[in-house]
Amino acid sequence: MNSSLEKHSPKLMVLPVFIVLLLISLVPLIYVLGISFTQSTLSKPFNDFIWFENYKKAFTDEIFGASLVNTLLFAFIVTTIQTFLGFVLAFAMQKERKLSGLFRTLALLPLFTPPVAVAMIWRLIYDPNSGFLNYYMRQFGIFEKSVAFLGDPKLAFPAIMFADIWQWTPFCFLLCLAALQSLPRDPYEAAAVDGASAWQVFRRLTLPMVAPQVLVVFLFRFLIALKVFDLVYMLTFGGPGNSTQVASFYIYRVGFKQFNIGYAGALSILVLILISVLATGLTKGRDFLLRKLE
Amino acid sequence: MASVELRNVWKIYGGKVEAVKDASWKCEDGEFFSILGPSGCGKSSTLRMIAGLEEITRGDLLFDGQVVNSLPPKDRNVAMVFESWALYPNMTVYENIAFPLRVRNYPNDAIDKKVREAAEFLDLTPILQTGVRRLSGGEMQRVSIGRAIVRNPAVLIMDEPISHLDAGLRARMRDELKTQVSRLGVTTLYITHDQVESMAMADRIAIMNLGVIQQVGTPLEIYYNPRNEFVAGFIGEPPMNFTMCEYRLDGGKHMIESPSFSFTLDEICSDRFAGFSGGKKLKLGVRPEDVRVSTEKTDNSFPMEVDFVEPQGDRTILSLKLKSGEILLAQVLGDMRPKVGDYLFVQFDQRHIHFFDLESGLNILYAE
Repeated sequence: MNSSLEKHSPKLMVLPVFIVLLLISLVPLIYVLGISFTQSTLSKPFNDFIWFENYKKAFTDEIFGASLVNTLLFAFIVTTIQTFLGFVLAFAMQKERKLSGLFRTLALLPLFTPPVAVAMIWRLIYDPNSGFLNYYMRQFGIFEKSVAFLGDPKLAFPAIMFADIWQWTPFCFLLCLAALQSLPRDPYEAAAVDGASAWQVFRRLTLPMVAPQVLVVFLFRFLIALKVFDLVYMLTFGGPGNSTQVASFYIYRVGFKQFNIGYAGALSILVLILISVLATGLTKGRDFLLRKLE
Repeated sequence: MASVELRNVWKIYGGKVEAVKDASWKCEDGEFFSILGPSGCGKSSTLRMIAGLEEITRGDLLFDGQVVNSLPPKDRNVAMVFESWALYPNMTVYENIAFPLRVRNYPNDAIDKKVREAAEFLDLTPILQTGVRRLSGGEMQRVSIGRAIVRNPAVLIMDEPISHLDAGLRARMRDELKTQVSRLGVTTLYITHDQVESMAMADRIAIMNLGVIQQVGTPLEIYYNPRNEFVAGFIGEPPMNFTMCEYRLDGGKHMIESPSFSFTLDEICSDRFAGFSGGKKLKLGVRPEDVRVSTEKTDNSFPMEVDFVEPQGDRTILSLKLKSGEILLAQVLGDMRPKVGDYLFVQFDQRHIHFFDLESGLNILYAE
C-alpha cells in the first residue's frame, strides 16, 4: 500500500496543475476545433455541422491571406530591427557600468507601460491636426501640410511598426545586454594579448559567443510579434481599407464584429498551425546555425 | 626573445590599494623566472602589468632596455597562459592555436604549418578539430600553451598554469612544461603560489609578499640563504622552526640561549656574529631537517621531550616540546621511531641556522 502510494505520488502531485492546464488550454482548443467545423454565431454556437466548409472558405479569403502576409511581414521587420537596435545599444552600453544601470531603468519604462496606453500616446503623436509629430514637422519646414500617418495606406503600417519598435526594442536591449554581460571575460584578455583588434575581437569572439542568445531573443520576439493586436486595434482598426489587417485582428473582427465564430474558429486553428510550423522551423534553424558556429 | 626589467614599479588600484610596491628586478633573456608568493601578494598584478592588461601606476617596465609602459598588449609581443586558460570557447583546438596568427593576417598555408608544428610538439594532433569545450583540463592547458608559443613571443607569461590540475597530472605537467619551455628557449615568467613548482622549474625566483619583493635568487640561494623571516618560513616543507633566543658573549664564547636550550656557536657562525654585542634578543630559525636528534648526549646538545611522532615512511617528523609551549619540528630518518614522552638530545646544524632581527625580520646572517 505504502510503496504503491510512493510510486504514484509524483503523478498525484502533478495532477492539480495538469487539470488546470487542461481546463485553460486544452479544453478551449478542443472547443475552438469543434466550433470551426460548424456554422456558428455568438448566440447560436454549434448550429450546423459543415465540416471543412469554413476551412475551404479561408483558403479563398483574400483578406485573410493578406492579413497573414501582413502579420509575417510585420513580425519579421519589427523583430529584425528591434533585435538589431537592441543589440547595438546593448553592445554600446555593456562596458558602461554606471550609466547602463540608469539606461536599464529607462529602458524598462516602455515595457512597463500598458500596450493600450502606448497605442493611445502614439495615436496622439500621429494625429494630423493636433499631433505633435505633424506640429514639429511643419515647424521645421519638413512637411508643407499635415500628413495623416494612420490614414494613408502607405504610411499606416510603417507607423504601427514604428510604435512597436519604440515599445519593444528595450525588451531586446535588456536581453542582449544580459547576454553580453554574461560572456566570460578571460577570452577577451587573451585576445588582447594575442594581438586582436577591436573589430577582430567583435567578429571572431563576441559575435560567435553571443549569437546563440541573440537568436533566442529574435525567436522570442518574433513569436510575440506574430500576435500583434493592441496597436492595430487602437491605431488603425485594420484600415485604411485592409492595409494594416493582421491575422489576430482579422479573427477578432470576424468573430466579434461579424459574430461568425465558426469561421473565426477555423481561422484561429489555421493561424495556430502556421505559428507552430514556423516556431518549429525557426528552432531547427537556430540549432543548425549553432552547429555551424561550433 | 627579450629581457624583462622592472624599475621601481608600483601598482595602486583606485588611489588606495597598493598591490605592488616598488618592485625592481630583471629577468634575463631566455631565463625561466618565477614569481612566487601567497595569494593576494601582488604577483598577478605584476604579470598583468607586464602583459599590458593593467596600467603601471609608477615606475618603468623595460623589454630589452626599451621602456614599454605605454605599449598596448598587442605590440609587446608577449604571450600569456592564463590561470583559467581563457580559451576561445566558440572555436576548435586548431582555431584557438591559429588565432594569434589569424589576427596578424598570416597566409593560410603558413598558419596551417605553424599550428600543426605546435600541435605535434604538444601532442594535440589527434584533437585538432575538437571544440575546446569538450577537452579535459590537461588538454586545455596544452592548447593554451600552444596558442602562446605558436607566434614565437619575446616573452612567455604563465599565470598559475597548472594549479587547477589534480596532483598527479600537476607533477607530470610540471616536468613537461619545463622541458617544452626550455626547448623553445623563450624568456618565461612563471607565476605560482606553489613553492614546489618554483623550486623545480625556475632558474631564479622572486618571492613576493604584501606587494613587496622579498628576495630574488636561485632556488638554492633562497632556500639556504633567505633574506628575511618571511622567505625562510614560506619556502620549505615542513616549514622552518622559529623560536626566541638570546645571543650572549661569555668569556670569548658565543652562546645562544633560551629557556629550552643553550649551545655554543661554532667558529663559522661566530665569525658572522663579530661586531655584535651580547645580550641581543633574536629569533632563531632552523629547518626540520637541520635539527639533529640523538639518543645519546653529545657536545653542545640539549634534551627535549617528544610530543608527537609522525611516520612518513622514508622519514619521520618529530614534534619536540619547547619550554615556551612552542613545538620544534625535527625531520629524522624513517627508521627512527621514538615514543611520545621520550627524551632525546637535540643539536642544530650550525651551517644552516638563521637568526632574524625582531623588528625588521631581516636575516642577520644573510650573505649578499
